[in-house]
Amino acid sequence: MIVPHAALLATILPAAVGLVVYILQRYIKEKAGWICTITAASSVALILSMAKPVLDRYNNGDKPIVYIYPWIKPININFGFLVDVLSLPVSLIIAVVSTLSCLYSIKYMEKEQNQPSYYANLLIFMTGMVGVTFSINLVQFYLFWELMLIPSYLLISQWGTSRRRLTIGFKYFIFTHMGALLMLLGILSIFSYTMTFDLTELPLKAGAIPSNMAPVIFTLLLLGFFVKMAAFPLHTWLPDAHSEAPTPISAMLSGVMLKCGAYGIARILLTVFGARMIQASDYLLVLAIITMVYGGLMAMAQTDIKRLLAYSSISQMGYIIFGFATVSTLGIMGSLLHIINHAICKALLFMCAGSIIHQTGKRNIRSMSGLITKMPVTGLACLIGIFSLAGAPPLNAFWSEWMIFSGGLAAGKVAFAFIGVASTMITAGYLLWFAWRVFFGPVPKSLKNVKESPPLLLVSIIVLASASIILGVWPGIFLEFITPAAEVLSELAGGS
Amino acid sequence: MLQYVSWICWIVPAAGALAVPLINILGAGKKLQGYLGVSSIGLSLLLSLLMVPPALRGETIDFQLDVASPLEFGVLLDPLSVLMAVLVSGIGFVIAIFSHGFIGEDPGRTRFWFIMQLFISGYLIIVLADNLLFMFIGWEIVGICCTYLTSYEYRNRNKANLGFRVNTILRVGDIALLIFIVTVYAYAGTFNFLSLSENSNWVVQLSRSGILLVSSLMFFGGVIGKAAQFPLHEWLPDMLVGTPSSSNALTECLAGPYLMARALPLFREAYVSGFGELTSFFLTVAWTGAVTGLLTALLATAQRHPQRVMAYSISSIIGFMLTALGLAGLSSDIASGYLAGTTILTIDAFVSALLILSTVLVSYAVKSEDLYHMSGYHSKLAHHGMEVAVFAMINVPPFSGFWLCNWVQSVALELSHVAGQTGDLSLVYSGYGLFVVLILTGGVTAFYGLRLMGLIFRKGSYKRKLREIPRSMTVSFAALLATTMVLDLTVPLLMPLFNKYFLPTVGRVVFQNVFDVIWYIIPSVSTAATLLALAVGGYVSSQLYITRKFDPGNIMNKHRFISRIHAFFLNRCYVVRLYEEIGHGAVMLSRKLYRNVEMEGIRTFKISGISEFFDVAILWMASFSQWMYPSIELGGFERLNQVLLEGVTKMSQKIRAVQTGVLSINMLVMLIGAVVLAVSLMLFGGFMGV
Repeated sequence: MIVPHAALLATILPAAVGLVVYILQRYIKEKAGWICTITAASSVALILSMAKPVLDRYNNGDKPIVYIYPWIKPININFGFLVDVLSLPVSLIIAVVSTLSCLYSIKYMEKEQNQPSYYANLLIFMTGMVGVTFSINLVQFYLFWELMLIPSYLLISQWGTSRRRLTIGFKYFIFTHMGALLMLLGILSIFSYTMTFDLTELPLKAGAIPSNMAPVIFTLLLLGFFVKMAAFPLHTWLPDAHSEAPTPISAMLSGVMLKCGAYGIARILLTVFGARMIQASDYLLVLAIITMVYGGLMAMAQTDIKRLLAYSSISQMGYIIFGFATVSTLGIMGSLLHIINHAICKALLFMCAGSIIHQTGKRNIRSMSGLITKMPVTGLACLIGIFSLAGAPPLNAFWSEWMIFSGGLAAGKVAFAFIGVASTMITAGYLLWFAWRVFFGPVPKSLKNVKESPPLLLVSIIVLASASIILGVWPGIFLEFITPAAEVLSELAGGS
Repeated sequence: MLQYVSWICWIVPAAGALAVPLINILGAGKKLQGYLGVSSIGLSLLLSLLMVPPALRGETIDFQLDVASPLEFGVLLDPLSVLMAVLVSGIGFVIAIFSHGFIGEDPGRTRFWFIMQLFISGYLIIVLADNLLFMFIGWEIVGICCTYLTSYEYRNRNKANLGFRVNTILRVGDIALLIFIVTVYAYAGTFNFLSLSENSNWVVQLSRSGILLVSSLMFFGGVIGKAAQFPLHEWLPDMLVGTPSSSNALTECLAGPYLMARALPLFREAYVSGFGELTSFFLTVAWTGAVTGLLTALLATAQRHPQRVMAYSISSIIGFMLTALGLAGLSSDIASGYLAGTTILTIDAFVSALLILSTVLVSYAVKSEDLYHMSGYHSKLAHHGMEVAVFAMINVPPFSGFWLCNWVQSVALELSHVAGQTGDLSLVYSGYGLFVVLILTGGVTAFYGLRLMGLIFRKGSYKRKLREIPRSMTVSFAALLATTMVLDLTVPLLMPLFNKYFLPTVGRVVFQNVFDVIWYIIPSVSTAATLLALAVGGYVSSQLYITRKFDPGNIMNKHRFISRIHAFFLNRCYVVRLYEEIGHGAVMLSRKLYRNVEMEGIRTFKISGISEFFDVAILWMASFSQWMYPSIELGGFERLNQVLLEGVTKMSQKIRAVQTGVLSINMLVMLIGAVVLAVSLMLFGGFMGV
């Protein structure tokens, strides 16, 4: 049974509660964290409640669940939510990671100022991301896209960790906003030819876009998404933003916000501009490999925990682009699955890094050693995340990685796929170096008195680490949704 | 029934692994974890023994789980997988009992038993999996377990780093194997071994795309990585040095030859049906095995750490297996090489285990890990164990090594003969070349085998206090010794049995009975050469290390080149250095890139670039606006406004006179107005519709 207006509630509820918390902050104070966690969790529950019906409908050959609310009548734009096999898993992982970040913040941010306003921003940020995935039309897509920018900017520039936070926040804002504007230009151009913003109608009307304009619009949208995903060479905002944001926000930025760009590629480019995707396939694959290798090499050069993870995210976005760029069922399936798996692993790693920073007060990898003796739970969880990202089965990210590269072969891009797999060596290299450096070896004097993080910090970490193992052992849980989604997308795009 | 057995067989140790930390949390007895570990692995052994009868009947059974398309889970029972399952769980069981004594109440025992059981479980997955994907999962589980066993004493930075190195080297092989697996899936649409062999269309497709050789070499890269073959052989010494009770590595690297044996029929079929590029593949397999065999035997001659000697000897013997399997692919029929390879695989599992455990036993008692510090230690059990193992290793008749080595060498010679008739010169030379390398390896093996024994059991009296060896260690060791001795001495009897067992795979009877074996092996060139090599290597070694007529130190001082060669091998041919240089190079490259491209780029891209472009743009806009504000806004519009204002004010002051009622002017203006109106009406009247 679906809760009435489930999608609307799942999207709007966090922002609404966020506003209430902000207004009533004087009365709420310390309880803000718990209230917000419960709100975010209820959003997760609402999304979960739609899972079964979505699957049933797909299997029965029915149309996906659509909610329509009249909005701007004169130009016939509705406020609507499209819940199908593609949007549901992505929004679910967004909501889950946001909830866990919120829970993690309760302990991690307890000494910070203006907590209610922090949580309000976090929830509005979450609404932005969930809204993007559920949007039924491009106007709404853009609206939520920008909605996630403002609170995240405030979170970085207000609660950031260093003195440079204002500059960095500004850079982040300008960069992603420019990307969004390019995307807006693309969206408006699409409308001028097809006279619709509706994502369910667009694939059918794609033919109305003249062939000389299609590459232009495609590029505009692609640039918008690539800025969000921090693909090379549009990545320079990411290392700063992700390493300076407070850790729970880093987990959200790296874990799920980047994925909105990937979702955009799947939702708009593959459905409307399939032919262009196939045309651009080789260039995109080259870009993906450069992003993978470059991000990996940059991560290898870092000594700051969070900066290393930030560059690692850039590298991982390369994997996702690779899968989409192959335009094959297997590749798309891998990329969609990697959206989920990377979200879990990267959020887990950022939270572990946060736990280390919280307990040791240090961020420099070189000044750490032997921490697994002092922080066994964090250490083990972190190792799980690391091995998962390095592509070791039976952990979750392995499944998506081989699918991505197998997709490359299925599309006949043999050389690219070989180089792609070989470049995973770099990923393994920097992650394992990080693990061995931080967790093994003798405990230095300066870390003698370090203790394991408080349980409240560990809950989120344990949940994510278990998710990594569970999804590694039963990858079918998400594949139930993703396999049909990938089939539909590759069919629409006309790929192999 | 059998279906459940084959699944439970590998699930039991995995479940046991999960239970170990629980025991720790509940605070139950200190030894309970060990008992749990031993019994779960023992149960696996029992279950794998239950699978033997159908395998004896030559049946091939595939139990598949019904899962969504790109995923495949299933268990395959055929002679090879059952044999390996019995081997893995059997030796695993012995090692578990041995480790139970070795680890005892060590504070890290929870970790140890967790990893140990997971290791066995992963290993059983490798050998029982019916498809490449599921096998790869086991493959990686085993790899990770190895890494953690190596870093068992993680508080010691050096030992911790060994684990890092092991993992990195293994990963190179794993990535190569993964490339092969995804390639096969992309072309065949399945991972299943049986489907792959039934429908070989994928080979045709691969060959058409021109990547058959590349992908088969990728496959072999995976084998090399796991089997500790050149150039990825250096992880095994590191692992044996780091691992407590050192015993897991042995079965770990047998996964390499197992995989080769598993896939050999696939490649062979393709080769026979005319895909000539696979000649290079099989030659690579055979030569890599032979070269590794010789190289690692040479490396073993110079080591001081007993476990390093063990490691190189294992690599060396696995080299023999791979040579045999490579020859099986090239020969006129698969039977001899395949049987030789799998027989060595089976027997060596026991021999190497025995060899490792005997050195561990000695190291444990004398609390030292240096061969030169063990002299004077007496233990009959360890001595006999090492004798049996070393004699088998160095091809002393009638121990197993003698029969098996000669078998492989004869196959190499046969290859030359057959190829000589068809005129394929590369194969002729390869056959002879391989034969020579194998003989040389035999000689070097004899040298280091006797050196090992000579150094450990040198006469003298051991002064320091010895550690008492726990009972479980001696009991398990004695059991292993007895089993190995039986297997070792009955090899000629076992060879026909193996032939019968693998008949469904090889399809031909090579040896009817033991007389066939003796007739095939004894009167051959190979035997003479082997014995000669044994005599030379053994003689030199016994003079140096057993009778001690010459002092190796003196010889090295006299002859500089010998000491140089010794140093070269002692430093492991600088292969480890090479790995480190590569790793170092990658890190340096990344740092340079970071400093000179990423950071510098951000700094210098100010004008044309991407990142700080906005800063510059804003700066430009700011200066533009700063110029604009005084010159355009203030000097232009603002001034215009001012001028207008002033002008209007002046005007109005002048016009004020008009408004105040000077009649004559009013009248005049009115008149002019009337005239203008009249003229306009006349001119535009029609147009204005009046």
